[in-house]
Amino acid sequence: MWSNALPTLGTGLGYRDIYRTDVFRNHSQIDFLEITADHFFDPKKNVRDLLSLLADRFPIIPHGLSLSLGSADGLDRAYLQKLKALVNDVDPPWWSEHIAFTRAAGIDIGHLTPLPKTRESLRCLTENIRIAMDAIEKPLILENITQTIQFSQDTLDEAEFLGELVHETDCGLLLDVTNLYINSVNHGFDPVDVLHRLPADRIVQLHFVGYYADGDTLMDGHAHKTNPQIWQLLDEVVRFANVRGAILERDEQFPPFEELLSELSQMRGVMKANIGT
Amino acid sequence: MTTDNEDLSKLQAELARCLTGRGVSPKDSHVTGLSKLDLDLSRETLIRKRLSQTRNLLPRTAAWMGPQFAEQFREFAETHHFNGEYAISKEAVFFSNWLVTRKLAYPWIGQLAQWESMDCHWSLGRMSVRILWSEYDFTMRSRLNEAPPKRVQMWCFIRCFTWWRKIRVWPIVFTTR
Repeated sequence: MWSNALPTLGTGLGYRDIYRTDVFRNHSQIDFLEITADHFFDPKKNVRDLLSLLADRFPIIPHGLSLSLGSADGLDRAYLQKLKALVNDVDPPWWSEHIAFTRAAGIDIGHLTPLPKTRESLRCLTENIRIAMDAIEKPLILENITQTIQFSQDTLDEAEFLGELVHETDCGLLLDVTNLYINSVNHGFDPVDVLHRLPADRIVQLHFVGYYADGDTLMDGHAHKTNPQIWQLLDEVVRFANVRGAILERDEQFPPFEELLSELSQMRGVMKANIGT
Repeated sequence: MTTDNEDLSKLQAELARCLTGRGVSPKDSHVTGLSKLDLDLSRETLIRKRLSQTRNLLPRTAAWMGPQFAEQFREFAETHHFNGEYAISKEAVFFSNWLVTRKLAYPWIGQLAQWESMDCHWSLGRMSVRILWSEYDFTMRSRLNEAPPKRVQMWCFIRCFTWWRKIRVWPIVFTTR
């Protein structure tokens, strides 16, 4: 089992500065933190001090936003070097990035943009991921994003694409369960069927948060409490795979911290019930 | 990158230009196999997502403006690109500032949007000080369907974090009438 070589981290939170005090006050209820890597690049002294304090209390997972692994123009080497410096500094058990591109033809899109699910995309991702893995010698796990564009060129489905990608690159999966559910509703497939066609031993970490509906389309606002449908799917995922960690990702409409702790506690229950962590 | 990725490269360039409103040449579109419909759809999807996220952060403004909220947002989005870190919060702040300059159904809508965007403003930094002048009182949170009463006020919002204690002063109000 690929993921057996990695430690079990438990249930944690995507670190947001607004919750800095709460995170330290409630550190016993948070097993680990995921930090947005980009926020810690070229850190000034106060940011370095913060990172060091966080690392004293929690296992830290760096999560990249803009490496643009899917860019056909190749990787931004300067960004990669900054990411490498951060990963070396934090010494995490793994790091993560998105299966997406954010940059093309010199344009920074400012948004995780999906790739067509084709062999050409797989080749491009594989090539970029190999360069990233040569530079950063920690295991990399790849996150599925919301498929905002349905490409007519698609020749593979979600499960085939993700499965082949992790097989070719020897990476793990950061399964965003909310994104999986949103895609399933917006593009009409069964999320449980896709889940069961993924390589279970590669699913290392999960992301979860609530979604909201805009008309008949689901959106990943990262601004709502986790919906019952997501809890149900989380339960299914944890039964299926030997998950090493789950992160609650809240980026907007920040609720009282107790609400997040309650969700973390619920997730801990789901993991305990299914994998006895 | 090798020429193996030539088609993908063209498609991505086309999408990047399309999603950031930089226009797409019909010739390129033909080469990469993305139809005008595909491109319009992807641009529309991103705009809808941005609109929806902004509406979510400015619910009272959206409720008062009705369909005009979407119309104004689309106009705003033509010249403002979604970009970088904290893009969603920044967009709500920029849009609310932009609304103040617009002629809208109610003269206080722009100020209401700025009022509502305060939370986004706060989430952008450790220290935030903002002063708003308003002829209206937006604090009547329970009365979502009533227009704010006219009351000239200066709102001074201060929020800052210290290491172990969070200081949150919300808000200091100077009522002038």
